[in-house]
Amino acid sequence: MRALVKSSAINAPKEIQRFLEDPPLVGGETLKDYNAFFAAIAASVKPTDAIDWLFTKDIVDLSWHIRRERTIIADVVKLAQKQIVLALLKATSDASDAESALYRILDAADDANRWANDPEGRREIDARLAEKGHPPSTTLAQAYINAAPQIDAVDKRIAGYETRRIAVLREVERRSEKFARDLDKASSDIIDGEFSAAAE
Amino acid sequence: MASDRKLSVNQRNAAKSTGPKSVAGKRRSRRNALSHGLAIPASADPALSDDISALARIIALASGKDDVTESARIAAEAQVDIFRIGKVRSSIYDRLSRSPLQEADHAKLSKCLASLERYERRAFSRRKRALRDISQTGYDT
Repeated sequence: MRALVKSSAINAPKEIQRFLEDPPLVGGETLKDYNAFFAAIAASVKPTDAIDWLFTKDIVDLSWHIRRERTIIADVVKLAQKQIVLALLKATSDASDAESALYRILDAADDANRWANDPEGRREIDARLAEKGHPPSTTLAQAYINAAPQIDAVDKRIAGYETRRIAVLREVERRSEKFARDLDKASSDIIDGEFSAAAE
Repeated sequence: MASDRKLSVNQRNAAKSTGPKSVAGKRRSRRNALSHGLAIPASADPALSDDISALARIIALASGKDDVTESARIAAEAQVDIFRIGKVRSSIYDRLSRSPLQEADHAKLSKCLASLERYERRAFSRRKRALRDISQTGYDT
């Protein structure tokens, strides 16, 4: 597993630099992160001319989109899990007990939030639900079932980006097999989350 | 080949479905091509001509040519189109992405992004052909 160099500057030749400085950022994504992402791939593949740099930008941008979509999937699943936990917390409290009725109305949502945001709270609530016959594995499975249409939509978008990424790599291969191989490896490493701050 | 009778029926039928009839519908559809501007090639936009020229020169030089060839210019135009598509894609994500994304949001996001794909495919393939021309031939001006 290769560690990628993390840097915040894209050291492209001056004449091509301005064409690389328009990143496809969305919402809370930052220029600093994007530049570090780009620089890490560029440092690994070492583009030698302007066309190499343009191909590198294609791969960086497509990889960036794929990472974003993967984050969306994680959020979708987490949200679905939280909704299931909330429903289970309400369903497993004792219906005949007035205190439990109050819990369902007032506190279950807070517990579900705690489950989503606090690792300690999550362990405690998971244990409580497991005792009542709902282990975390079934909650997760149910979350995937409930969120299947959204996950499917995101998967299709990822597949689209992957197809284009492969097409670009094939084009790069015509110029240099080694450069295509390095670009594929560097971007795959990053997509798979192997982005480490090895050096400045 | 279709018979004369079939041709005239086809023409009659086509005339029944050639776009909006009402004034409001025509007004709306008039703006369809402007919704993201990608139907208009980068070369037709004077604001992008400097970028295209600069990029064509960079591509020509990177390909070992001293002069800007027709293929370098086509590759540059396609590249600028790829940049434009990237910007439109970001704005679509920005407009439709909210947290948390609901099922309907995903469907809409996918639909909007899919509409960009054909422009992107065309741009990639124009650039691919132009770059291949540059590498396979000598001067092609």
